[in-house]
Amino acid sequence: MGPVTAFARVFRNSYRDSVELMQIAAEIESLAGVERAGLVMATPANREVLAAAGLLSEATIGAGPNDLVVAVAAADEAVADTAFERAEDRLSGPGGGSAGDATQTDQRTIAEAVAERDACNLVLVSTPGTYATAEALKALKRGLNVFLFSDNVPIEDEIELKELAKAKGLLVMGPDCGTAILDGVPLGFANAVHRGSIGLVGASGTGLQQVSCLIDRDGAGVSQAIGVGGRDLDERVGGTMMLAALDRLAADPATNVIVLISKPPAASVTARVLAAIRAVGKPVVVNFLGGDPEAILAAGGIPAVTFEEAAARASAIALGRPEPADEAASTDPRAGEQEEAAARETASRLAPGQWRIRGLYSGGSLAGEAKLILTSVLGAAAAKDHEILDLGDDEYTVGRPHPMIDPRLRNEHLLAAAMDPTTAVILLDVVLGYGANDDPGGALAEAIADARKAARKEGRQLAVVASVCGTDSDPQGLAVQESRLAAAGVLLARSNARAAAIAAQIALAAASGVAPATAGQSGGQR
Amino acid sequence: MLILESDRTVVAARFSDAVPALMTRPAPRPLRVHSVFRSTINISIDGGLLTLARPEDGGLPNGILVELGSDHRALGMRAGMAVTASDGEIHFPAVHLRIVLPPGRGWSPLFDPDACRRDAARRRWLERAGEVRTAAALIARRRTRLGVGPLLEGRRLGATDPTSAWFGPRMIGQPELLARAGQALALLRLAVETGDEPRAANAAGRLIGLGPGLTPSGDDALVGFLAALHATGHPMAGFATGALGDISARTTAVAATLLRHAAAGAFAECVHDLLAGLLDPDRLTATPAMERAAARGASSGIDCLVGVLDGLDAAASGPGWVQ
Amino acid sequence: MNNSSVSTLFPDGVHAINVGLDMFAAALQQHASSVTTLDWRPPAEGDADVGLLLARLEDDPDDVVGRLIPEANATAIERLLAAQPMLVDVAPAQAALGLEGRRILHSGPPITWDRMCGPVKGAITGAVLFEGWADGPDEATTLIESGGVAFAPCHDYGAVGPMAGVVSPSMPVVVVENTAGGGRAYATLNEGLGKVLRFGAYDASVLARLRWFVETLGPALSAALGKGGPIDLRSLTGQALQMGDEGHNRNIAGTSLFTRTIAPSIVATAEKSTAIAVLDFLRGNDHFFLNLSMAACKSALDSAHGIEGSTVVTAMARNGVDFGIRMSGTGPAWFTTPVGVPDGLYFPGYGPDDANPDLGDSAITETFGIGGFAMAAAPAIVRFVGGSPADALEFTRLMGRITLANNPSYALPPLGFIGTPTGIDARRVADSGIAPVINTGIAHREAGVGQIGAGIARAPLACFSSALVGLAETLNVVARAKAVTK
Repeated sequence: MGPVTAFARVFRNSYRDSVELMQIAAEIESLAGVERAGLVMATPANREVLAAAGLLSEATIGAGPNDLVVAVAAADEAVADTAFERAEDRLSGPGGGSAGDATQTDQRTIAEAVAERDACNLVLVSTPGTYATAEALKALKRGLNVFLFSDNVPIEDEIELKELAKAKGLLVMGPDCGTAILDGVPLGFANAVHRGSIGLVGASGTGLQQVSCLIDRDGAGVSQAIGVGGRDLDERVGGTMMLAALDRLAADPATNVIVLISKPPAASVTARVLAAIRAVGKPVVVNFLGGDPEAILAAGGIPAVTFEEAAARASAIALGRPEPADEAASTDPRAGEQEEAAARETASRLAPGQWRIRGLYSGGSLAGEAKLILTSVLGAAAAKDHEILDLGDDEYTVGRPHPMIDPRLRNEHLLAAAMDPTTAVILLDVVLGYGANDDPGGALAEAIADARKAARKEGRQLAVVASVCGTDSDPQGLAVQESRLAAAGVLLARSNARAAAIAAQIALAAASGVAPATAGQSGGQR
Repeated sequence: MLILESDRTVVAARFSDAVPALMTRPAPRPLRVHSVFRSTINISIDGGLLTLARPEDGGLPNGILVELGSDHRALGMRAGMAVTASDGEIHFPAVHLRIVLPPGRGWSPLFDPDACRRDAARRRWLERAGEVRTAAALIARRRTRLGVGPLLEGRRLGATDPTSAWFGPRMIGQPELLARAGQALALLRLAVETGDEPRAANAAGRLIGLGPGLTPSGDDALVGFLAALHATGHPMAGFATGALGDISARTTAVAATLLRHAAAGAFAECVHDLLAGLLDPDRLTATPAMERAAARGASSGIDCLVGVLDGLDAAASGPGWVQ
Repeated sequence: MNNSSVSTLFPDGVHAINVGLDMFAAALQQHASSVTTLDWRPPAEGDADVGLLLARLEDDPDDVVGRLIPEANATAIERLLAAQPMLVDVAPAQAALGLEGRRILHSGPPITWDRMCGPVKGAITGAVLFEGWADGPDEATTLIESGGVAFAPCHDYGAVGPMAGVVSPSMPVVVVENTAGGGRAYATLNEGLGKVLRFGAYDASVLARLRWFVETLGPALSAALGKGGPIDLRSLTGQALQMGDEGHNRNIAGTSLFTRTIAPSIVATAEKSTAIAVLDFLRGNDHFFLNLSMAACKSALDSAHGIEGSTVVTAMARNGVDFGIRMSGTGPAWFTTPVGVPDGLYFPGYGPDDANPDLGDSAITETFGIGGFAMAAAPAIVRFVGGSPADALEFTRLMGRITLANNPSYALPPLGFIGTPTGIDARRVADSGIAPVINTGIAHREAGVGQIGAGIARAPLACFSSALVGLAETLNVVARAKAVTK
């Protein structure tokens, strides 16, 4: 944690017994960015102590011995405010300890846990990357499958772990694996989707989430969703786990259709994966983001350009519906008349000089998909002038929580984008599900209102386009989240691909008024 | 129109001898609820508090022990609610509750002057001070890192810096708290050992309102210190009476009330229990008594223990023993 | 929609172990059949390379090393549990140990004179005077500093000694034979409390007592054993554990049982005045059984030492400067780290500033699963250091998490007659960070002052990590291969 500053707030005539005050202090300390917290009564003696600790801020002047001071050492004022709000919640509530029903044991090692319960079959590892290999190795040696959420695991370690898993007939999902749903059990960031007959395997976290949610929307369901980690189809790793997962899904009687998701793999790996697809004996929908559909067709697979298309084709097969027409399924941006109309209408309200799409993404695969759509609609050269940021990338998250968990990082970028006079459209993804922020739509709606206000001050309107990746069964609720965003004037699309397409349409419409050529050199920030 | 709703009447299990006089002078007295906690209800009275507590928590010098369910917050009382106290009865009209104090259930919060002869107490304490302190340090370490408990560890277990990372200080300002409390207690001991009342009052004043907790740690320690003096019949036991000035501006209402009683020699039952254990002829009762005392509050029990041990040390040396 | 087909991935349900963030535990708890969230911390005190090495030494039925280690440990445990230590004789160290010339043994891992702590230096000086190699302390120091006396750890000679653990050729030692494993182990006779050699005292009273040991106590015990036959120490220890001893810091029951057992033979073999003196000495020394207990543990542990691949710890010992362990699979090597002052209760007038860092071979009792590991049997000890009987049970349970077996010969009534946790697996210590608990006496740092307190020490974790690194070397296991080719 970086340097911290001290903040304090006074709660008048606040009475809580010490045990409760300690619980509150512990709760505040667990907040991201808070290093320490203390709750003391503002007696003269304590005020001297606080002064000596550098904590006697102006806020505590005038406080008396029956007033409570909440002091925190926090990264910044916003963090401190969050801490004070939490304290206020607890102090204004009926009091009493939280239920605290955590069933954490005092077992410290995998060996101990296995000795206690020999039915164990899966280990989730989310330790710092430095220690993750050792924990994964211990799990495999004991015959347990591994879900490896940790990142920063050396590729040599990944190769070793996956080779060992292969030899033992186990799965290693990861490293840096964001999501999986195994037998209906969500691991990591996962959505609450219906069980069904479609088996998913992917080297992409949010890609898997997007496909599983759209399948859910289509009325079909998921048998298994197996993440294998972003590097699995790297030449050095060789797609070991993708192939192992395919085998599992091929053998699973509950799985009738398979969807395979990845960035375009290395050539040698592609050959192996395609050979495996040929041997599966079940329909396999393949989404290699930007990969060659001909090779997939040749291997007997069903190519899909976007995540939405992959979901639509798999759902159609699973539900026994006719294959969707190519046009409709591939999210061809020109096909959506309604969207085109909305885009034209939105573009008409933009000021001259507003031409640029700024994509602010929390999901890496969704950002990748958006780039592909922009390229296909606007052409490669023009697409380069627009900007799609993956804010979940290490580059942005060093020392800060991932934007899927904590919206602040993206909110900052949102405001900056609004202040840029060339910004025409802000393109967003909102990811729901287990592990994600409690109310990402609400947080975003507020930030969008601020951004619009800032733009309006300079005489500009802003177009905001978003898609929500989630289901109604998710803890945050798809409908609730969509309604928050709609209330904030966000143009909502049912999928990320469509959202990107709408953004592109707006950019096209805006460009027909003003040529973006003037901004050529400022494009491509990264 | 008259709406009749019958009151619930609950009979108090026990109450401090000081309570009936408080309630009836003059009677009936219109009072207000000061605060409501899970285990206690406080009523403002004469600048102090009258406390309703659960029977299992033991007597308080300002308290009435009465069974009102496991969580008093569920009774519907709120701060500021009207209360009427009269001879033998407290009435909470808003929640239709009457608490009756039958005669014969009084309990004395004062130390029995004949319970432990001074020379016996001194001899016992000198014999066992070392082992008791070490046991106390280990108990404090196990119980809590809050309050002034780490002072025990620092003195006994060889930590050069009681606030070092080993003890994992979590409380903001704890190093300052420990430094100030440690210094004030050392001064207090010195003052009592040399029979210097003004200096003792000054040192005691430095403890008031110091530290975390609804009863700040310094107040708990001071109450403990005074209890040790009273339990051993020390001639300076009364030094704090009238010498501490207006406490209510310097600490919380709850702590101020307990301090005023302590200055007058009245203590909670758990403090009596602790001192009885520490000075029992059988030295093996000391540790269990400390364990029980330490279980009180988040750090209050340990904080009080810190004061009691220092008070016994002070009482066992110096002019208090000139016979 | 709900599909009725059942998946084959986990036919018995998902039973998960969560290692790391508990962020996902809630969702898991809702959906999985069972979830254990570990109280995880970085293994090997955060040394990632050692942590990885440790993972490579885990049990694994498909791997040569992963099979070797549990098999070797099973052998070690079998021998530990089968051990049958019998007290067979009391004899001079010269004869029993083959201690030749001017050689003196000390406790703990090897150490040179210049690094030794006060009590050990004092005890060695006393031993030099006792052997008559010098006429006074200064002359003794000159002799030692000129290299005239050789030193070695007791453990090198199959012996163990409490505190300074000093053994010189004329001193009588108890001879304990493990009749199940064949080996013999030795320990000095316990001198009692007060001014004693093991705390570094060497005045006339100390030397006189040692001479009485040589001339009277040793021969009397030897003759009594000759008449009454060997004494079964396993059985005595088992009974003592049911009578409130833990075999390290509390030996009053063991000493009483021993005295009761040997008394008839002493009376039968010794002159009346000798018998009275010997029995009176045993009556007055609650700790006499400690040295017997230590030798018994040593004889059992030696039978489990030297098994290739075994991670069972076979000795923990301190010399007042270093803490050292030996592990079955790493042969004679010691793995050491500086030792600290134990947490404890001090006698009135003393404090931590007066204390010597932890000292003595007596941790051999914990290594064999009694002492601190059998705290559940001895609530009196916990009270002494400010704990409750519940804490005592907790210590024993905690030690169960770093050991491989329970010793059925040493049943603990408060834990439903489950045996003491026995056979420390260095891997479990390093992986969990749970350090072995050692009940210990605290010596004054100056020679001869004696015991100033008692308390609980925890074995330093670093020793266990280095022992595992040492074992990995012998098995050609490395944390990461140098070159990775694909």
